[in-house]
Amino acid sequence: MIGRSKTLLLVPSVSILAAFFVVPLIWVVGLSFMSSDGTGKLVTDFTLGNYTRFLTDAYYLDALLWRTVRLAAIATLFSVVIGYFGALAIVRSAPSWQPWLILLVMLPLWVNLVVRTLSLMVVLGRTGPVNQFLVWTGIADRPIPLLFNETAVLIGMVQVAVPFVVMSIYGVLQSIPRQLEHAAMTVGATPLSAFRRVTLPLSMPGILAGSVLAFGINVESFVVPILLGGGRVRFMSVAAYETATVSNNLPFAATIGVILLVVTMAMLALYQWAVRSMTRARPVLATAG
Amino acid sequence: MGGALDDARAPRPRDGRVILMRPSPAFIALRYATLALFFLFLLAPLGVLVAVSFNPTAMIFPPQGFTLKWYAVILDKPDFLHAAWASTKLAALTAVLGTACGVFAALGLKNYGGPLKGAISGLLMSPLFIPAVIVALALFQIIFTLGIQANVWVLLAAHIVVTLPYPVRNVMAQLDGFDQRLEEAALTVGATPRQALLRVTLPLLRASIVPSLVIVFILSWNNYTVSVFLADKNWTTLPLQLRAYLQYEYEPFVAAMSTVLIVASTVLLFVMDRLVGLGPKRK
Repeated sequence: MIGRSKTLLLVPSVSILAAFFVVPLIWVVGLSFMSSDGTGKLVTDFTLGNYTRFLTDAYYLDALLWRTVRLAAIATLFSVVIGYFGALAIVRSAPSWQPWLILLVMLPLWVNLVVRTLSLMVVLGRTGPVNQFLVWTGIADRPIPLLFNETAVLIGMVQVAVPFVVMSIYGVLQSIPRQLEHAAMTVGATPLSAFRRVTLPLSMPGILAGSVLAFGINVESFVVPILLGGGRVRFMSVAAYETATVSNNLPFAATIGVILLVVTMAMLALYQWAVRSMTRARPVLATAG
Repeated sequence: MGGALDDARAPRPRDGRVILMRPSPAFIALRYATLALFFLFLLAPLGVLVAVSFNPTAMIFPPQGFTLKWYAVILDKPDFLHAAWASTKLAALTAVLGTACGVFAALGLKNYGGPLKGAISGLLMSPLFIPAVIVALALFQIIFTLGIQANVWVLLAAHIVVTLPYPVRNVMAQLDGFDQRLEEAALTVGATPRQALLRVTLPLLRASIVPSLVIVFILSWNNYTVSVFLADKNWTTLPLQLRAYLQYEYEPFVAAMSTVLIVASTVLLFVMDRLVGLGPKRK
């Protein structure tokens, strides 16, 4: 009796996921092997045409897929470095400050992404504070275009990902006993080498978790490339959206989606592998982390 | 001179073995500088946007004057008010229904074990790992192919799908540390399983249900990617409306609107922190 009611409790969530998640995903994979005639009507014969088209065309391969992956990876690198410094500065501040600082880190996550991106448009604009600073200091003699290019998109992605990275790394840093670093210093290590040889390796799990999170968020960026790229920086998710809604080529949009999915899954697999090989190679880390 | 950053000096009561080492003043200065630069990077853009909203002329920082007129303009924009109301309704429905689904699922999974539990919880968590844009694209394709008009129910279902992992994870985590004996005690003193659930288990789960409601609300309220595929004209949400406006206009009104959203998010965040404590445990 209780057993059956327990199963009933699972019905709402599992059925909503089945109907609005699993079936659509299977549908999209299937659709990517179909084609569309000129008028947008579906041709249901099996074809690899969409994939051949994507993977042989330099535009899709370089300007779309490679750009998305490349910018997401660079943004991840910057987010992890900035986020690490942030997390480290927070974890080394007074314990009574830390909850408030963490709350400040979480604040942007609660603010609408369109609003956050808009704030960067103001900051990076022709008359924005950054350009004013560059002209005032004489680094540039007139305002330089900072918006609507890859750099702007990069800055936007880093801004979005940094709070997630801080949250991932902060937890791990907090669990590392300070005595370890102090012990290293009492036996003669400089603060820098104590950090490099003790704290940094021990915080690897947080760095990895933060990286995979940041990459996952960056690679499916949608609002940031639209607003900060100004239509000039094409991204996979934006291309999938436009192909589906503007060109009405559903099979090809599905193909773009599936390729994005494969990239995301590949990164997750790589992460799993990295975590596993790290815990195997350094059994000490597994217990300390 | 509080020395807030040099915790190494402060004796820690929890373990007496802390080796007290006085960091050099240069080191402390470096820490403060890092902290300041980090938060400047993270929060200054929002501050600039707030400042711009008081600018009478254009989206320029620093403002060349002070006015509140752009805040009054908000009330003259029925599109935005309608969008804000649509967003609020959608997010509230998503929060209540999604959290309910999540709580039921977590309770349902409690007595399962082994590979079946792993498989079902894996399914429930999987929207976290699949880009939301693909879920939205997939749903868009289905309703397009079936010839169904975009409607609020599909939009609502999609919002629930992409946020479901959060309540499931929160409630499951709390159930893991849950004292099973409390429910058993209720049952032995004659409560029916239903009474035990309503009177004992659910009230105890409040600590994970309340944050789930708020997080799902925020995620749904801020969602852009799913809504842009699936919202029809009557359900243009606030993020969509903001973006549509930005395509044609760029004046401080949009900064004022944003400031309202920033303040609302901030208030919600701090209220939430008071209620359940979002950050690390205070010592």
